[in-house]
Amino acid sequence: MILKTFIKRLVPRVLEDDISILSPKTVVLRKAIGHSGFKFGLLLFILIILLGILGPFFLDISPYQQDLDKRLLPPVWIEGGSWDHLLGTDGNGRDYLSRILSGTRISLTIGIGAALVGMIIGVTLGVIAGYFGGWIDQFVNYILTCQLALPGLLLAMTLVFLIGPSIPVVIIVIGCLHWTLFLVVTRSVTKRIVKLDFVSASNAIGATKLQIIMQDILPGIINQIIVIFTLEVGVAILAEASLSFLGVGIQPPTPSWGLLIAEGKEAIFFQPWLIVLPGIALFLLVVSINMLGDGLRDIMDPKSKLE
Amino acid sequence: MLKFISGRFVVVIAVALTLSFITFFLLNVAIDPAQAVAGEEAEALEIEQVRQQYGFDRPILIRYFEWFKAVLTGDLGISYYWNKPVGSLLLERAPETITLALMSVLVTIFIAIPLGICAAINPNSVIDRMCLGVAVSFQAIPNFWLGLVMIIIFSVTFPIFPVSGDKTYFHFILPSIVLGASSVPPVMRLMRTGLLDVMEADYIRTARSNGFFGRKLILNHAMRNALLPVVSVLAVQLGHKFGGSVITESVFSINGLGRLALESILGADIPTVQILVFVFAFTFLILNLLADILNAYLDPRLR
Amino acid sequence: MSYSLSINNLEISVKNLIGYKKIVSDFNLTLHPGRKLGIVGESGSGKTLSMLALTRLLPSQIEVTGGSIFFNNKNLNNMEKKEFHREFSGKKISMIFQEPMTALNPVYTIGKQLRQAFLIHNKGISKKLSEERARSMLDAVKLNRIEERMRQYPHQLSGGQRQRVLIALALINEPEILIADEPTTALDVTVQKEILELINELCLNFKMSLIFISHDLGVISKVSDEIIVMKDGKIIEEGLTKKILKSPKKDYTLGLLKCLWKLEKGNPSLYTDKKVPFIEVKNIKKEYQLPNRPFSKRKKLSAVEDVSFSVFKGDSVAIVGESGSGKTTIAKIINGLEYPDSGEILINNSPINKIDLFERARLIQPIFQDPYSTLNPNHTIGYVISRPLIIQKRFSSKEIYQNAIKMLKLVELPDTFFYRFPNQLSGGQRQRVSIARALILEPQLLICDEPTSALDVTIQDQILDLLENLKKKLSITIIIISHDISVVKYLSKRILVIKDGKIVESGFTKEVLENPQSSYTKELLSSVFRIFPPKRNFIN
Repeated sequence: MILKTFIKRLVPRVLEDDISILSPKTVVLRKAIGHSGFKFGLLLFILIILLGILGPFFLDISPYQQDLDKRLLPPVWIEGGSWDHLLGTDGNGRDYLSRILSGTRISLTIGIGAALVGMIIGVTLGVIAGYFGGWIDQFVNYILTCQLALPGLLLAMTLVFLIGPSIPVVIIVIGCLHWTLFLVVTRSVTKRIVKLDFVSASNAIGATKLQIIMQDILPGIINQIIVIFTLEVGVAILAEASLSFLGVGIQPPTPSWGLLIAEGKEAIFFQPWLIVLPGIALFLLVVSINMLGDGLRDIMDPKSKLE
Repeated sequence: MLKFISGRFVVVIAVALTLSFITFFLLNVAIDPAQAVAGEEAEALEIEQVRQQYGFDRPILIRYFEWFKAVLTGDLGISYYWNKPVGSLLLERAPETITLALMSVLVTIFIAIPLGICAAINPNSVIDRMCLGVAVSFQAIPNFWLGLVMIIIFSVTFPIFPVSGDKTYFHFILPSIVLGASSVPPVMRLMRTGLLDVMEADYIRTARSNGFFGRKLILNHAMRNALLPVVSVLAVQLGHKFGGSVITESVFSINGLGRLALESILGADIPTVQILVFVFAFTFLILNLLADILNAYLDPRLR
Repeated sequence: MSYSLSINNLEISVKNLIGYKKIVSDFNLTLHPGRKLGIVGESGSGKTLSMLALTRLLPSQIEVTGGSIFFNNKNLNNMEKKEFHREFSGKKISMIFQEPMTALNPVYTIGKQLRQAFLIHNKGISKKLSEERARSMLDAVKLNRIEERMRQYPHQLSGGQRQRVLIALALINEPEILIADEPTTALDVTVQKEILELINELCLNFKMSLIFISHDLGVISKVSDEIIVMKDGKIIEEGLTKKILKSPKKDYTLGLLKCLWKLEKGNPSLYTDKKVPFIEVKNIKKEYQLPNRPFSKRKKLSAVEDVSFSVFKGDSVAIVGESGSGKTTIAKIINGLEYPDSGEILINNSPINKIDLFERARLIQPIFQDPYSTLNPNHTIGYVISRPLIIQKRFSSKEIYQNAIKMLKLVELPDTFFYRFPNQLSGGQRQRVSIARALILEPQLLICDEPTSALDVTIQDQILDLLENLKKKLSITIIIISHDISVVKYLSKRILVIKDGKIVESGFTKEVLENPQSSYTKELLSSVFRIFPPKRNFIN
């Protein structure tokens, strides 16, 4: 109830044809409140984060604690399962719920970290190429073609394997291979903005190139960057899971979801939940992030209608 | 047209050269090739011997040019790990990967394009919502997990398909569905938004005012325009299929290039990894070139 | 050949969350065979929507919510959409639109598009016959080199040629009514004249009646027997064209006409002369490189070829030309936004590239054409106006605020706009803000690039008045760039007529317009449809 009144005060209710009264921020907020996919994604995401970060504090079993007497226990709803281990145990007798919950933090750390690295590379190159154009643009385009042609997963595998797997290495390698979308979008939006009259006006009042980039161009592309960033977090999480699954990412005993699935592969015929459960966790997290991203795209699209 | 193609081809060659150098450099700097050949437990003296014998003590640029010259004459080098010429390894393994990639692209086309068109024709309908749901969830399903779950369902619980292997085309059905599914979301979304955008275009309004409607309007006036971007994306996806077959091949134990790549990486087999990266990149570039040519054929403005 | 069309009490509404909101109401129209009807109104008056309702092309959220459309005693509103398109679209009622550049399908040849449009209403016709028909239509719209055109794609034709193809498409099934929605607005005036003459002629040859929609009374007066004046979704006035142009009954129509009459009268206050040279443009040249493809020869487009002129203090100079004539490039060069390939520009006797950025900003300021891209949508109006002072770094925040408020007053906007965003303002208000931004540095020269051509007539009138007042009040020098002779006449003392990057004629505005020397200026002037004030002067 309190939340509802708070939202009402924040976002005055007006009819669609009065949209011109609202400031851009209010319009975005109004759209966000009306977008069911966005709200669902946000709710799911917050839920997963709470579980992943606060969950381990309430569980007194460490994800690394082995109990060789209790190996391969099934989850509680399958015959033979017990309430001591809600989701059963793995091949070394470690509590599976605890391992899956602490996997959340690893996935999120790597996802957000890698997306940040990709964003820094892609946005920098994109703004430079879009603003200066000419041979600089062509050079960046050349780099882009090279990057696109490289088999990303294969190269990531090779690099992580050769440099030696650790969380920072995985973050940097995935980030360095996932900047192309940032570049393509930033560059095309920058090119569009540079042609607009208000940039010419800024030139005419004596603004420097840096001022124009920071004050005129970046505010215009920030929305798109946020959307891509969100979607790339999902992509990076999946990439980390794939690397770990193949054995060239996070190394045991760290509970990465991809690694859990790889370990469960041995037991595919008799204990399929070892594969299914971490996969569902991965799926839910990435779905929530993708729904957030898709929602943000709809919300921030100036063409979309106010609902 | 010929000028257009030759121009693009030069770019392809230039990019391929750059990439071959970068991978060569990365692989030879990141690890000590002599150590890789000699093995993990080799003594320092032994490593030094290997270094001299294989010529790893010479500058990297010279080694690159030698390697490049050999590649041009068809000598792709000898795999340290398999003790076989890399060329014959490639020829052995390539057919599996090509079959898998082509079949999975067919899966993508047959699922994504009809769904995309259905969604675009009835925007915001139940069908549209369902297609969007499919797109969002397929995007979030990790490929290797989908493969394992498919095995659990269709090979273990209901034994319809073989668990793994690559002997018959039947073995390829599950893998190509898994690999094809990952491309469904982008292709379907592009088909949908492309068709929706085209239907808003001025020339569609012109066609309407001339008396076109319904299926005729879409087939005669909208489809070709909406398919243009889809062609490019399909080419990109097919390119990714070659490089991305690593996971599917290892899940389903298919002896293709992807599995070769994984095994070579784990065996620190530099010559093989190097050639594989280059082959995947070159395939991608050539496919894109073909897509560009097809696009130029379909869209007269590009000619 | 006899038919009748009548629209009675048509009501169109837009659907929103709480229901329907009327945007056109009480729209009545009767069209007799062979008559030519003009519908005139400003943007948002509902003139296009009412015709899209007739042709069943309304956008998805907009619906017809009342009234009837009778064609030969058949109510079209009760007809299925499919049936309407099969029986009427292109066959009895055809429509052409404003944007010739995008209205043809880019991936099919002209010939194929024409043939398909013919086949849709004549199933089973042989390819040869339909091709024959397509050729004869291209001939009817007076395109040359027909065989070549049949095989060409839309992007290979000019705007005027494309509009001719669109007319051929609309007429290929010999409709009885042609609806033309601003068909010439996107074209140059000389091309506009040709297209209008063509439409007039085709109406006679094909025995069609015409409904012509335009915002431009001058254009309407050339193609219509009767006029409907619309405002805010309602018909304000209707009657014979001649009668309405001479003696309108309603204030709104009179207001519209007054704006045009005022422009025709010109501006007598312009003729004072002091000759202190302020800007000298000497032999500037500028070439653009067209986007090149690898390994083909780089193509160059010459935008400005050897242009020289000078502007005196307190002067007002107009640069007039059609699209692609290089007029905007000249403005950008003077403004320092582009650099000439050769030649130089002197301001107060010093070359422009020697003046530093801040100094130049205090000398010259631009005003742009498009009110929707001239303001950064992420900045508040207050920030937009104060930013020139913030960037100059010489003022306290209090000074900046006071100055910005003063500027808002100067351009006749309320103080409350300070905290608003551009999307909360109308086109005219945005243009005022951009004038305020230009004036806050108290520049000596304003370069206005088509400052009013994106605005409605009444708003254009207000902005022109504002510019005129500011010019007197601040004794500012103005260079105005325009394709519109009437705007130029009102604001400028001297005029440069420019074509293909060269000056073809220059002199005092009054003299050039009354007695043009070059053939191009003559052509340009004869292409403009002017609305002269009535002899019996009851304006003032």
